[in-house]
Amino acid sequence: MLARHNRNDTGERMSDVVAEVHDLGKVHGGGSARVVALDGVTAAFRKGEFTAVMGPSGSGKSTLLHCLAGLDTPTSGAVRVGGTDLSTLDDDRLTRLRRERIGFVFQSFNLVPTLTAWENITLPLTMGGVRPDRDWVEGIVAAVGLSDRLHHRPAELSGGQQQRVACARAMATRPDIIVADEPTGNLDTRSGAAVLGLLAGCARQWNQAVLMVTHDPMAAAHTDRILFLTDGRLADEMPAPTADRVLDRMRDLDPEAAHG
Amino acid sequence: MRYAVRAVVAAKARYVLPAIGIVLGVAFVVSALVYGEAVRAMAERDAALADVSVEVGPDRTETPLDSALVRRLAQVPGVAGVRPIARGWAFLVDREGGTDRAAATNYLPSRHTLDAGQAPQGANEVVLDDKAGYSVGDRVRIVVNGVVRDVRVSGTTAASRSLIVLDTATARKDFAAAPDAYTEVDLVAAAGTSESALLAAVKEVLPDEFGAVSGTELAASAQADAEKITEILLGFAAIALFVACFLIANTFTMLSTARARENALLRAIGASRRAVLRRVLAEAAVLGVIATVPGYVVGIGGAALLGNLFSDGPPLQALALTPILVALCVGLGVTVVAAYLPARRAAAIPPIAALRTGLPVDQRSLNRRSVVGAISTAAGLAAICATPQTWELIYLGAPLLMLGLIALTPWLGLRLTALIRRPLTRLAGPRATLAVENARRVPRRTAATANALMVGLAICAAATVPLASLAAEAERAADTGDTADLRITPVDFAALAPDTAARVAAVPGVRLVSPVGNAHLDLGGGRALDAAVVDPVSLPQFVPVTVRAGVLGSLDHAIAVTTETATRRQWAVGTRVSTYTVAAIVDLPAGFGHDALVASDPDGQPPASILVRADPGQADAVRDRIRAALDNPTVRVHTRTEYREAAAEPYRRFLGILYALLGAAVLIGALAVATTMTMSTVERTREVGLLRAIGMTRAHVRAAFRWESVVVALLAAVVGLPAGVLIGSSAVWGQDSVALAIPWPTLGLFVVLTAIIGVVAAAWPAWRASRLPVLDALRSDTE
Ligand SMILES: Nc1ncnc2c1ncn2[C@@H]1O[C@H](COP(=O)(O)OP(=O)(O)OP(=O)(O)O)[C@@H](O)[C@H]1O
Ligand SMILES: [Mg+2]
Repeated sequence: MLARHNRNDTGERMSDVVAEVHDLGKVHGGGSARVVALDGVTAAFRKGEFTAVMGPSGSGKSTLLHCLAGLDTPTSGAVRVGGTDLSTLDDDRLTRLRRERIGFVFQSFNLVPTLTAWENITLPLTMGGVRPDRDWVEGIVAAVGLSDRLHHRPAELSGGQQQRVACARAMATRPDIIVADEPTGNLDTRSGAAVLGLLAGCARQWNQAVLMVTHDPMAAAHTDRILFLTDGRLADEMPAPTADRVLDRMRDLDPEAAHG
Repeated sequence: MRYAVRAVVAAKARYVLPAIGIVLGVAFVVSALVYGEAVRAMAERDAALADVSVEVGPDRTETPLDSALVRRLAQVPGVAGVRPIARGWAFLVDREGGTDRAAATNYLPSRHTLDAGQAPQGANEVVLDDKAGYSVGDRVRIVVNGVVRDVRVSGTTAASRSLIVLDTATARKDFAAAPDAYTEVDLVAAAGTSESALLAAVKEVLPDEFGAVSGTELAASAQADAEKITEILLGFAAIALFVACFLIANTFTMLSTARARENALLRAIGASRRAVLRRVLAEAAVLGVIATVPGYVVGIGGAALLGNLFSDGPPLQALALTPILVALCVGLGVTVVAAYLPARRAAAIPPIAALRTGLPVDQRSLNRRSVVGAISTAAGLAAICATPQTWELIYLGAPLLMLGLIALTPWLGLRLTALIRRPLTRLAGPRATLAVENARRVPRRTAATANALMVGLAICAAATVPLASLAAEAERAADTGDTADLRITPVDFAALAPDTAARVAAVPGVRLVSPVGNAHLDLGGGRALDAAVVDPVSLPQFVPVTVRAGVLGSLDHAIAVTTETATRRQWAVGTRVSTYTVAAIVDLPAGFGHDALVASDPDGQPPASILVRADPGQADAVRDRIRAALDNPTVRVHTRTEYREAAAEPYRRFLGILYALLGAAVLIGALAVATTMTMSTVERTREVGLLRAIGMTRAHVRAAFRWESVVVALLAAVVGLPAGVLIGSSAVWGQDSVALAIPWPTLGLFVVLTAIIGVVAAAWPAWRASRLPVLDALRSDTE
């Protein structure tokens, strides 16, 4: 299946694809409690491409990200990161892949409360027994604007600063793909914009694939393309979005939510 | 109350470890009471069975109690019965070739009711106690006065301890100081004569060198022994319970933290502080009662174990009112008392906390506690340093030091973990950083956990130092400055036979033997001289004897005294000392341990040891040959190193018993570490989820918890072991006869064992944490 899919897509800069999901399905529970979270989603993510995932609540956005990041196991279909089918990996190798090739930013509780900002940022490196490349990490720290906050603990940082530390951590290992689940969900506009800028920078400057879930049309407008999910299905894809077009599309997909 | 039962059942996983702690503590108390009572009852029964009103015996065993005196005693008014007794120690050679020490006595129809067979007739028959496991007609070997005898079991009798009954003529020959004598006489009062009246009457006619005690006094001293055993065991039980308090308190603190929101909600909807307090205490009470039942059962098992270990299994009374009531009071009391402070803190939660997310942080300052701890520690140290002058200060110093350190542990824990954060991180990466940080997170909890382990470790160390010092001293004393290849000695309570030296000399490979005995030379006027009974010809071949004045010669009616003794007593060659003449003044090696040398023992005792020179390089082979030739399990044939080790052996064995008794406290301490680690993993579920999500392997998650556990356990060792060593040392400082010997290898072993306790205590919680499904953990609402 996957091989055919690859052949079909060879035209589109095949070598740049760092992660892809094919015919992805995820079912939670069973019997009467059965919930289909993902239903046949196929998508590819390329270097330097900033993708937004949008859709109503419960449409499966987080599930997609979790499957892509190797945190959740799909019930059907396949996930490939850097050419590796995740279902072939045991827990240790999957963990290593998460650590080295994927950067994750959650909506909240991104940081280990007992470690300083610097220790949190370098955690994926030190955890893998890698000596942090100081210049590289300091470059990131400077980019996220936290040079004077490195020895503070998360509790001593604002929410925006915490999210920027989380972004820095996600970037520290130079992963193939950065995955962010509503990274600006808890932030004010200014802090949100800073985090968005960072993620966009990852794609543009560092040539990484960036995938972000958001409910905010303004945030989505910063991206290169938007995937719309409804009821676990890929409803639409919008390249080069603008805020107005996003709003329109959202209204089409989920009239109630857009009106409400 | 019904709510409390349900709450305990619901949280049963969290209550398992503290419940085990209570079970152990209660079991210890029950063991002490039931075993102590069994020993006491046995002593009481023996006393009743003995039916003695007054017992008469010589002050020194060498004084014969002859039949003339027995007859005289029989004529004392008020004496209804006279039982002349000849008794001593004998050994029964068991089927494995080992020995069982037994009380040996002459057959008395009124004392020994035979279950089977007949009374012993002649030297070749014995009656054994029914627990020895032999029946009438069996042939057994017994050792009396160093001589092995092949005898026939003529009968068996019920007895509370190992017993060998000999016929009267044999027993008198074996044990009495003279042919016509006995060792004791038991008198039975006539009806109408009181024990005290009889005692007074007997004392009237007794010569000076004899004493008399009443049957009541005899029974009372046996009872006192039993009570002492109970007290000692209860002391160890108290230590275990003290440690259990930390475990219980920690459990309830952590449960209250986990339930803070629930408690706040209760407060918010109108429950009073007292209601919340009662709720927690009721839960503690239920836990205490539930744990008491298995505690009692385990305690009975423990008492049976003690019975088999230390005596011949006295019959236990498994269900008695006192131990049941005490067990209930202890189980309930300790749990509720230990839970009281955490319960009060739980009740003090403001209702508004119901609306807060995350776990409430303990923000109480440590300052006051640390200051109190520092003062108490300093006072304790001062008192301990003053023990060489006034050793009773140890009773003040040791508790002050321990309590001070307990109060100081949160502060010490913060300081020490701050010190090791960097080096450990360099060593083991973020696993170690996380471990150290988590150990720092709740200093009081970490401290209480460490304290539970610390108390047991400190007491172990405090017991080890003086006993190791005594053992080292014994090894030094065993080095008597002789050059013997082998040394032959009897086991405790046994003796060498008079012909042993001659038999050893005949063994092939033996070049030379020299028997050495101990004699107590009465100089009259209350003065005595401690002399070695030696062969003056062969002794200098083994021991460097330097004659300073006179001639050693054959020491016929003469003694040689050490220079020091001669100077002190102002004796010179030719001085008459009692019935001896000082023939020589000599220097003996330090460690020889006698003030004088004589050629024969005035009391006729056999030698206490025999020095042997073997053919060069043949010591081991000759030793085995001597053993085979003597074929006597009550005789020890040791090479030089074996002898040194054997000298320290009793202390090592005693230390082993102490460790076994302290084991419960250490085990409860280990349970406390395991409990804290379990709670710690539960509280940090979400953090584990995060760490796993960003790429921490399962092995690393486990390692992080293991490190944390080891850090907490080692905090206990770092604080507890030095304190214990200090307390133990202070018990030695004041003694002139014992030099302080710090057992570094043992202490090192303690540290290693503590680390292992840490690893083992974390094993299950760490494994569980590493297996948490990442997404579920991330979504959990803890922290
Ligand atoms: N562990 C689970 N057990 C059962 N159902 C689940 C579980 N996780 C997610 N679901 C269901 O799967 C569907 C998709 O959930 P998902 O979290 O991916 O939605 P989402 O698009 O991220 O929503 P939101 O915008 O609210 O975050 C939902 O209907 C949800 O209830
Ligand atoms: Mg979501």
